[in-house]
Formats: sequence, structure tokens, C-alpha cells
Amino acid sequence: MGTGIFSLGARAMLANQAMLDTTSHNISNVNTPGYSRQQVELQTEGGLFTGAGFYGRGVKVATVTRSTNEFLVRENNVNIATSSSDQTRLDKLNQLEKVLPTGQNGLGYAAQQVLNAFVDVANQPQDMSARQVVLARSQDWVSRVNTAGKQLDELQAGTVSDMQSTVSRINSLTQQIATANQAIASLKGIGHEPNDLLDQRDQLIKQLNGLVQVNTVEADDGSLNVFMGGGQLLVLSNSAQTLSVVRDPLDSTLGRVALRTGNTDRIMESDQLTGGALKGLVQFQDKDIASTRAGLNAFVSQFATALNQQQSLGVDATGALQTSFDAAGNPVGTPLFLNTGSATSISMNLVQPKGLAAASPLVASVQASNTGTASIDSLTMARALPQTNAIDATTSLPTTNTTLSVLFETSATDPTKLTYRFVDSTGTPYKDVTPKRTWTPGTPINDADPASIPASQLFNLSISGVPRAGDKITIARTTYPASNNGNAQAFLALRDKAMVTLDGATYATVTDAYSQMIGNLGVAVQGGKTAASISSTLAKTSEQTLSSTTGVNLDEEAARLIQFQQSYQAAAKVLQIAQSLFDTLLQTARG
Amino acid sequence: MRIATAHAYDTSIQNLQKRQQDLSESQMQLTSGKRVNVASDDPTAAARAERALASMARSDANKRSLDASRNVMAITESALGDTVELMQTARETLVAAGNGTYSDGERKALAVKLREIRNQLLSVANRSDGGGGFVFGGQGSATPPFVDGNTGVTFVGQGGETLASSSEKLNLTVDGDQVWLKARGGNGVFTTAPGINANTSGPNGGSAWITSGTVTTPSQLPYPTPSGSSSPSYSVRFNVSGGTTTYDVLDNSTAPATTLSSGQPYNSGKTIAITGKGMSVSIAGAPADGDQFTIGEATNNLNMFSSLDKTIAALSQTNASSSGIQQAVNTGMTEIDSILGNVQAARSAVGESLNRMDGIESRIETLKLAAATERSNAEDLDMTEAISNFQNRQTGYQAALQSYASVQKLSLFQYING
Repeated sequence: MGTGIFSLGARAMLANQAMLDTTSHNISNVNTPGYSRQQVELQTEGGLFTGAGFYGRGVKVATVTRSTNEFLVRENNVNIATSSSDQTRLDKLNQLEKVLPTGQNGLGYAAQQVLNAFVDVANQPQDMSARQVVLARSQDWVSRVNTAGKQLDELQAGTVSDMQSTVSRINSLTQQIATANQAIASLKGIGHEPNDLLDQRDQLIKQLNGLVQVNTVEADDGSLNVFMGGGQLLVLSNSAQTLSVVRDPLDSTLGRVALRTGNTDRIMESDQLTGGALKGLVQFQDKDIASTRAGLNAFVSQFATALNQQQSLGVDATGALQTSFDAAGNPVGTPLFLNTGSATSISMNLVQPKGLAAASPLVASVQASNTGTASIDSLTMARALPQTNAIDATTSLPTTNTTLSVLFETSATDPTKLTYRFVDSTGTPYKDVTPKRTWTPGTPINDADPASIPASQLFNLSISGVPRAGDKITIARTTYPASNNGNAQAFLALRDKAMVTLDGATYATVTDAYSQMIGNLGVAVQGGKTAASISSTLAKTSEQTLSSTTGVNLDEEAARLIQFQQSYQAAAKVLQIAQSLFDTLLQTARG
Repeated sequence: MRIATAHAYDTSIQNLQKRQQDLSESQMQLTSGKRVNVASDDPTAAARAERALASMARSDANKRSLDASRNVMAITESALGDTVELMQTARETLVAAGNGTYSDGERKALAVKLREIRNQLLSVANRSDGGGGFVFGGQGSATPPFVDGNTGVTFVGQGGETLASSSEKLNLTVDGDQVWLKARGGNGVFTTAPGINANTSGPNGGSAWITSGTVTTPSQLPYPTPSGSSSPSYSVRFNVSGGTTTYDVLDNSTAPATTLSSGQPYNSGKTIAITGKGMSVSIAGAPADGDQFTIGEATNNLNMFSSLDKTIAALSQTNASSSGIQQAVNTGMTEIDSILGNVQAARSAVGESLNRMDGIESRIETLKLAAATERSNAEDLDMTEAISNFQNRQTGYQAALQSYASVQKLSLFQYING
């Protein structure tokens, strides 16, 4: 019995010391990432059976456990993966947004200013400095577009390099998890949980989830097998697979995540990534950069095409038609831009201001003897004039015949209406012999021949006022191309022409198309912001819930410290009493 | 719920950072004065601002068109003003030249004066627009558009007008051909001229001269000729026999000519009616037997310079007959009046377009202002709201800092002593 109280006291002291140790451990690790609060599990030492029943034999330390919750950990990991993916994409989107600036720094404004510069050319066609301004503004636009293209390239290259560093961190983490697995498995047999090792492994998996979302399955030996969201095995027991980033075989600027088996890299489908920074990067690369680039290239190439086309319809200051045809039937002329269809590589082609086709090859004038009030508003070319000295080479008009007249007549079927037909300078009807074109006020007069191929239409003539029967409008080759502004006006009309399509279906003006582009990108960034904010809130909430289970509260630990200290003191008191009992016994025995 | 100490610190630090970020964003908006700094701040507003900016740039471009046109129109207006003055002087000179008592020498001096006026008119017609072009250049001309050649002054530019780019019609040039070389001949409806003597087939032998005539019955007028048919002409033929002068009026549109009236007694200066055609002319002086005067349709091809040339030539003749002088002066006056009318019409059109430009300018300004307002509405900051926001956030940040400072002092360890 005497020894009972000694061993009881000693056990109590040991147990309390263990609890003090664990509390100190908790206090020490209050700031250790991934640390789970530990606690000592106590249980009573089995009773000693005597004739008087069971005597308690004191306390014993069963084991040390950590406070964790597998489900909360898993939920937190999923949230971290989503939040990390969204945040990575948002960071990149914020950079992407700077590629398409707004306002006066924008590409749309620059394009608009290229067209606006034609106002001065139209005002003073013979003034070379006005033409130089057009070229300078075009160059400015090209530079801005090139810069935007290069920024996209740099963003793309940066994304691939981020993917590479992410993948090498993933490889390092999976390797560490495999090592932790081995250590944990080797301790499996001893019957106690290796708490700190488990914490470390959980922390590694949490970090891994920040990079790529994984699922874990615990094996019998305590090791965790790690799978990527799509089911791809990353860690099996103590061996880890290696990921790599390879170039997309179809587009070498794109990076693809691949699994290295042996010496070959097998490219994984993008949908195998379900979360984590890697997913954010791949999504940014495949969706955001790709759509921005497609939009930018469409905008650039269609604007350049429209201007080049307009240029080809005109005549430059030296009188050279910008699209005549060489012997092989190929168009010759100097387009404004060397349109490669790509924002990065488009460049200026025209350098001589006099090469700007400001003049229209044809001019219309009202005959002096006209009795009606018709006056010319504009004459625009529907296609390039194919020959240098004739109105139209596709008809039987001799090449020396250089004028064409629109002749108005009273309609034979309805005397209240006017018809018009074309006659050449010798009075011979052109295209159609009988008047069959009814003049409708407000509709341009054109030479589209319903009986002939539609492409034969050469011009559109808009008039204001009302002609009378017998009135004539003469169309002739421009005699003084240096001082004619017909094509410059047609360039200006491009400001209102819906000529750019971002989706291939609906066309918009340059300004509207660019507004649409920055609007789309702005919406994407806004969406990214919202997604990141939601998922980060979720991640924070689950982190908080988890930390309320696993985290260390210093006040609690302080209270426990006092509690365990007092228990320890009590146990010591037990020993003291045991000693005094023993002393009493000894003195008694001494007599 | 238990609070994990480390997490509690992390959370408060994060919240403090968030507050600081909000405050700095608010400050950036205040300093830049813009609510929308990048498109994602408000994509719709950014797109709206983009369109408004384009509209402002467009207004500036339209303003440049307008200024260019206004400049040319002002030059044209003053050129046409000069023209009117010169033509008035020419007219006065011509009136003076009609004085029957003038000697050949005196008339020649007036002819020299007229020649000077004509040369001045030519230089006005070739007036430059100050930028390498010509105000009367029509649709283009590399050299001065009016060239003085062997056959008189011709227009070498391309007819028509060059327009500025604008939603409203703004001229950059005036059709010089129309103004200077395409006035309406005669009295505007028909022309009169001395014809050929029916007997001698030479010029009229008498001293009679014809006026420009008047329209008496508009409904009977054969002019303007309907399209497709040829324009009829008429003549008055004199018969002098035994001291009595009579005249016949003939319609030359048929072959042989139809007689409209015959044997009418002639009184110098009395009105002669072109029977059934609603026109009348008056002929003064003494016609010779067989003298004829013709009446034809007026056309738009009265050339100011040719007309002056013709008059100058007539006045420069030595020993000119008084009827020749009278005819030249009379025709010259009619033509100058017609040309003046044409120039005045062009001048009033130019003046009207200058007038119109003030309206256009104010419309452009209004549009630009509207676009600027739209842009400002879309992306500018409401200062009152922003300042109040900033102060709110500042207060919030201060409160967060203070609470952090006071909470972090609270720990049980503070109270455990030894």
C-alpha cells in the first residue's frame, strides 16, 4: 500500500508533466503553419482488485493526439485550390487589361485619328504635309498595335514561365509528400500517430492544392496517395510522378502540362486540371490571352484591309491608279499597310506622302444646261478602275472613250417618274439601251447591270436636288489628281462604315469595335475579380473553421498551463504526503 | 467557437491591408479625378467614354473642314465682290462709250479702260485660295484655271465643285466655269442679234440696231424647247421700197420659213411683236432693204471675257457706224447685266453658305459639348461622393488600427505573474 501512493503520485506527476510539455509544445508552435493543436489523452490505470474491491492505481498517458478534422481539411483544400486558381488568373487579367488602354492612349482612338487626318487631306489635297500627317498617324497606330501585340506575347511568355516554375514547385512538393509517406509508413507499427509528421504532410498537401487541386486516398500503411482532379496519379506511396511543361505541338508559344513517364512527356488535357494556380495559368493562356489576341488581330487586320482597299480605289498625287493590273492580272499599287493579319507584325508600307490615294479616279459634274436642281454630293468607287484611260474595260466602250453621261428621261410607264440611262461621249448607250433604271430620290445612281455580273458595278453617284427630264450628269476621268479629294472623302466615310467584326458575324465601326473589345475585356476582368473575391471568402471561411479546430489559442494554453501546473503541484503534494506517511511509519517502527 | 491566435492575427492583418487598399484606391480616384481608370472599373462606362471621345475627335475634324471651307468661301465672297465692282465700272464705261458725240480716239480710250478691267477680272477669276488651290478651280486644276488664249479665255480646270467632308454640303471651291463663262445669254429667255442681209448675204447695210427685247405673253413662249426637239429661231426682215419701210416676221424653224406677219409698217424704236410667240423686240434706226435681225433661244454659255472682248473690239474700230456702236453698247449692256446677275447669284450663294456655316459651327460645338458631357458622365468622378467615401474609408481604417492596437494587448499571459 505504501508503494501504491508513491507510484500513484509519480504517475500523476508524469502525466501532468506530459500535459505541461504538450501545452508548451502548443505554445511554441502557435505560429507554425499547418500545426494542429495537440493534447494528451489520459486514462486511468486499471484498478487493483482486492477483497475490498477495486483500488484506483492512478492515471496514465494513453497517447498524444492532434485536433484535426479530415473533412474540414479536405473542404479547405478544395477552397484553397479554387481561390488560388481565381487569384492567379485575376493577377494576370489585371496585366492583360493594360494591353488595351482606354481613351486617348487607346488603339480605337488612334485608328479614328488616322481617318480624321484625312480631313486635312480633303481640305488641301495638294498639301503634302497634310498627307504626311496621315502617314504619321498611321505609323503611330501601327506602333501602338505592335506594342499591344508584343505585350500579349510577353504576357504569354510570362504565363508559360510561371507554369514552369509552378510545375517545378509541384514536383518538389510531391517528392516531399512521397518522403513523408515513407516516414509515416515506417512508424505505422508502433501504435501511436506521428502527429507532427502528419501535420507536415497535410501542410504539403495544402500547399500542393494551392498549385494544383488534388484528391487524396489513404492507404493501409498510413501513406496518402495523391491524385490530380482529373484522376491522374501524382504520388503513390513513396514514389512521386514528375510533371513538366512542354510546348504545344500546334502553337509553340503555348505551354502544356505534361506527365513524364520514362523519357517521354505525355501532354495532359487541360480539363484534368480542376483547380490551383496551374489551372488559373492554363485558363488565362487558353481563354483570356487567346480571345484578346483573336479580337486584337481581327480589329487590326480588318481596319488595315479596309484602308488598303480604299487606297486601291483611288489615284495618288502623281495620277497613278492604285490598283491597275499588270500583264499577269495581278494588282499593282502601294497599299498603306503591309497587313500580315497579326498585331505584332503589321507594318507601314507607304512612305511617300504623294503615294496616298486622296483622289478619286472619276469625277462627276452637272451639265450647265440642266434645268433641274440636281447637284453632286459624292461619287464613290465600288471597285478599282481597271484601266488607265477608259471608264470601263469590261464593256465594248473603246479605250479612248473617256466620258460617260447619266441621262435623265421621263419614265415611259409612269410619267411622274424619272428613269436614267448611260450614254458615252458619242451618244451611244452604255450597258443598257432602253431606259430601265428608275431614279429614286435618295438612292445613289449606280451602273450595276442587272443583266450582267454584279461585280461590273463601277461607281455610286449620290446627288441632291431633283433632276428634270433631259438633264445630264457627266462622269469623266479626273484630270488633276493632285487637287482632287474624292477618295480622301471616301476614307473619311470609313469612320461610319461598319467594317470590323470581332465575332465574324456582326460588323461595327472602328470606334464601336474597340469599345466592344475593351468592354469585353473589362467584363472578363470584372468577372475574374468577382470570382476571386467569392472564392477567397470561401477559402477564408473554411480556413477559419478549420483553424478553430486545429489552431492554438494562447489564452487557452495559458489557462491550461495554470491548470496543469496546479495538478502537478497536487501530484507533488501526494508524494510529499506519501513521504511523510513513510516517515511516520519509520518513526513508529523505531519506537 | 475558439479562436486560433495565429489565425486571428492573420485575419486582422489581412483586413487592415484590405482597408489600406480601399483607402489608396479611393485616393487614386480623387487624385486622377476619374471614376473609371481601367475598363474593368465599369466596362459599360468605359465603352461609353470611348465612343464619346471618338465623337469629340470627330467634331474637331468637322470643325477643320468647316474652317477650311469658311476660309475659301470668304476669299470667294471678296473675289465676287471685286468682280461686281469691276463689272459696274465696265458698265459705266460702256454707257459712256454709247455717247454718239465721242470721237474714235475717245472711244478707244474707253476701250483701253475696258481692256484693263477685263485683265483685272481675269486675275480675280484665277485667285488662289492661299493653299496652292484656286477658289474658282472647280473639281481640280493644277494651273490657274482660266487661260487667256487665241480664242479668248477658256476654263482648263474640271467643272463642278470640290466639297469638304461634312454631313452638310461645304464647298472648298466654286465652279468657276459656271460663274465666269456660263451666264445666261440675251435677256434670259431669248437672244437678239443683227443678222445677214437677205439680198446681199453680207452684214446688214442699214443703221438699225435691235434691243434685247421683252417677253409679252409667257404662255405663248416657244422656249425653253422641250427635250428632243430643236430650238426654233425667228427673224425680222425689212423691205424698203419707195421710202416706205415695212417688215415681215418669219419663223425659221420650218423650211421654207413660215411667215408669222408680213408688211407691217416700220417706225423706228416702236415695238415689233413676234406674233403668237409672246415676244417683242424693238428696232431703232434706218434699216436697209433686206436687213434681218434674228431671235433665238437664250443658252447658258455667255462668256464674260468673250463678251467684253467683243465689245472692246467694236469700240476700238475706226470709223465705226453709229448703229454698230449702238448695237455693241446695247448688246454689251444686256450681256453685262446678265453676267452681273450670274455673279450676284453666285455671290449670294456664297454669302448664304457663309451664313449657314455659323449655324453649322454652333451645331458642331453643341455636339462636341454633348460628347464631352457624355464622357464626363461616364468616367469622371463625383467629387462630393468621392470625398465622402474617402473620409468614410479613412475613419474605417483608423478604427481598425486602433482596435488592433488595443486588442493585441489582451492576453492571459499578461496576468500570469511568476
